[in-house]
Amino acid sequence: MNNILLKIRSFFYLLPNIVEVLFSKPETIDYPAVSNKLSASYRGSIRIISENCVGCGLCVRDCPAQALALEKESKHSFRLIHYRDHCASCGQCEMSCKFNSIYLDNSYKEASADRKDFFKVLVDNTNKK
Amino acid sequence: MNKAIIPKVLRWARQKSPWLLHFNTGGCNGCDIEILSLLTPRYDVERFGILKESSPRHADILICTGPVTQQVKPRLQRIYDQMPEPKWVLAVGSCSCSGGIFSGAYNILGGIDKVLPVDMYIAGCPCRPEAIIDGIVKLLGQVK
Amino acid sequence: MDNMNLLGLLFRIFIFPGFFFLLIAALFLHWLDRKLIARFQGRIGPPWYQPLADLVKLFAKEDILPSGTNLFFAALLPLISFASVLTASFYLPIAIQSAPSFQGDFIVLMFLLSLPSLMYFLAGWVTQGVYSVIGGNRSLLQYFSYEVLFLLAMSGTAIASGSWSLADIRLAQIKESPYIFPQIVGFLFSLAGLIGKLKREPYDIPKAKSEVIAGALTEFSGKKLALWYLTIQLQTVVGLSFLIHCFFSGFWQMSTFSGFIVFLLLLVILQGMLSAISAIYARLRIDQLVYLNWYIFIPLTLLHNVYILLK
Ligand code: SF4
Ligand code: SF4
Repeated sequence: MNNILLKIRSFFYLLPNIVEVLFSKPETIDYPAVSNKLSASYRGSIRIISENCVGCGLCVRDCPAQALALEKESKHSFRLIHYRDHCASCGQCEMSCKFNSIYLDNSYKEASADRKDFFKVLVDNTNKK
Repeated sequence: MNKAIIPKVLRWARQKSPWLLHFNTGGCNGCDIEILSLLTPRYDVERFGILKESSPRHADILICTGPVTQQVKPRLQRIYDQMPEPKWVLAVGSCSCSGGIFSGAYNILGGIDKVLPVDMYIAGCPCRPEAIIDGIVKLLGQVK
Repeated sequence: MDNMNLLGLLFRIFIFPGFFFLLIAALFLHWLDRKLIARFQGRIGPPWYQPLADLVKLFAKEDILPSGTNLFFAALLPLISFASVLTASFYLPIAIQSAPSFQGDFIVLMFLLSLPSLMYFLAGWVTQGVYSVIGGNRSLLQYFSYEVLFLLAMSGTAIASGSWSLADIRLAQIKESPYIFPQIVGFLFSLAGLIGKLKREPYDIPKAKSEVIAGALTEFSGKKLALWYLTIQLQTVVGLSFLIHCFFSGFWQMSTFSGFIVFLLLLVILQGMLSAISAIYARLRIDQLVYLNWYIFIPLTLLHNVYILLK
């Protein structure tokens, strides 16, 4: 008898739950209208402090996805290029850099209809001098 | 008058009800989980009329995650052919944009655009659900 | 037939309670369903125009079928099921409009409402996809359990009123009291049968997404898919109106505005019940479903009917 009562109760087990959810505020964030705050430890886009960069190429050597490229003309004239569509946001470049130049912040990468938009010159020293 | 109104209505309908088909073309499953998180109460893309369909014949947008492996290439092409026009392709994640961390491997073609025409690239490894929503909204803005 | 009559007939078929009213009601109920399920899960849910946008988009899409499909039948089956639901709506006194009533239209309605399930099964066979065939077979397996339940549970009202005619069922309810109070068990079981007919959770075995893609409709696209979806949405309205007519129609007088409002309210409440059931229960396995229907629901319904007979 108890068993049957339990079975019948299990039929209505979730009913109070859904009624409670129905009359509470939805969990949804209205994303495109309201921006979402990401946690500070999220690794998203590559940023650079270009004054610190000396063009040593350590980050290029260690990047596992070949997302960075260094075009070096002379010791003080070089270009550091980042391909966003290759980058795995792994953070290796931040760890490899000995000059605190390259780092990742918590903004995510944006969508684009053309892959050319993902090409970005981080440091350009070629026309100084 | 008819000529002006009917394309407008069709454009409105297509923008308001994009149905997705999700296909993993050999990725690591990270972007797949981010795509599924779009359906959770937090992001709830049904606000935009987006449904996740399981049959290619019902879908409008093909979402691919992963660098195309040699083995999955014929299947990808076949699924694309099974979808009725008008259809769009969305490359989600760095590896479906360019091959990403897998590029150069012997079994990888490197990017959806080696096989299919891609309408929108979403980079990130894995990409945020916000980025995917942005990509879909951008894509729907281009719909004619 | 004079002019006035013809105009009235056309109005009846196309505007109210014919196609136009049914279409609006079906789209509204479909939206309400999706919105309510979303809210039950703590989401926001689609905007009000969502079902309309879906339909327009599907009608404007390319229509392709796998090679080897019998194109004639693939086009015919959704049309037959659509037509049978519309015909059913013609015999059913929807809202306050009276309908041509005769002895036995209860059974005719039963038949017309069960035709789409049969067409669904045939659609699975015609399109020849693996998932379609499995989905069609599953729908037929399910058919033999819920259809019997639906007929038995609904026929309690016919037994109580002593007639197989819908008009008589209504008159008997106005004379005594609405059947919902003495026959609440029959009402709940016919709701279960209706859920099976509409292939909603927990009876959605034929179109289980994670198992058989989209069941028999897997290979359909474009206009035909839109017609199938429209059929299921219209079937919801007609089935719910059938239930309301058989169990609640003693609540209002014929041809009054307040009666119309009460009808719409009941429609919304019953749709809310269907949505809540979808949100609460998970899909049953086919053996669980057959066990539940044949060992528990149908014997209880039979007992209930015997009790009504003896009363
Ligand atoms: S985060 Fe990783 S993949 Fe991206 S640029 Fe730095 S090292 Fe390369
Ligand atoms: S970012 Fe750092 S590691 Fe990379 S080239 Fe510049 S200084 Fe060297």
